[in-house]
Amino acid sequence: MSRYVVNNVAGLWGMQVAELKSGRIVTASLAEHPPGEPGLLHGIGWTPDEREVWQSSSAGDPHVYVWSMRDPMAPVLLERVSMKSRRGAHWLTFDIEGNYAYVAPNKSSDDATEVFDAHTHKSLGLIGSSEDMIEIDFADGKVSRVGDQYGVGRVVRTSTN
Amino acid sequence: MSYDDAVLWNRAIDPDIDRLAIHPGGQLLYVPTWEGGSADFINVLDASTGDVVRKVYFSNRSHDTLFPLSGPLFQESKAEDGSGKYLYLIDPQSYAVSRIGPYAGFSGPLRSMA
Repeated sequence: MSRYVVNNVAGLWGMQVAELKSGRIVTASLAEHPPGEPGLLHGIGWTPDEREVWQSSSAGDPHVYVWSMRDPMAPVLLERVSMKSRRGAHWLTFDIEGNYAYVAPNKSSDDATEVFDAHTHKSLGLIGSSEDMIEIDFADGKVSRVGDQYGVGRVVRTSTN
Repeated sequence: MSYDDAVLWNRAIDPDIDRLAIHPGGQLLYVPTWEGGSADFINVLDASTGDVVRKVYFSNRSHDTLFPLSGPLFQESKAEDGSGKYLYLIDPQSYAVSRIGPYAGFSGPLRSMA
């Protein structure tokens, strides 16, 4: 069973993290953010290695916030990554191997989806816009691996402790 | 089993739909009833036919279902009666519903680590 879950929460500049076993919830706030109410920040996802959480901001904030999750119940903001569009982002996800982050623009926007190096956080370029994206790998003409529309942790553990 | 691009089924699901999740085994779909809707359940569908095989009741305004690699099924709600401040966990075997929270506000998109 999953151990931790990160949530965007209405009215919060930041996110909340829950430890499922204890039910404890902590808040990770953004110390610096645009003025005004955030509404509901939208895209949020774990890198497949579960070391980071990437979080989109409000529709008008052209940044993605990258949190270190070394201690999942005490996230530390690592970097504020700028979007080329100079506008906000909506959904985000990663490839299965965790090499690339795909950050989709605001809903119904003409902006592109921006691709980042998930390790260095550097922008690698733009592809056509879609917030509905999933990786499906084929081998010998058959589906071999399926990613996820969301960014979810992919570390395999042999113990639940 | 061979694959092609044929559409297996295309059906309207009552009362509505939102962003869904699929069981890792591929047999079942977990379909929210829409973030603006009043239905207090999600539909569980047979992925091969679209038939509703179960309804799981918890709260209204359901959207963005998540089935992470390690489970369980996570369901959020934008309900404005206070129940939207909880995150719902659905056991995919027993369909027992539990919840954690309250969060600071209704919970939007969420993601789980394995």
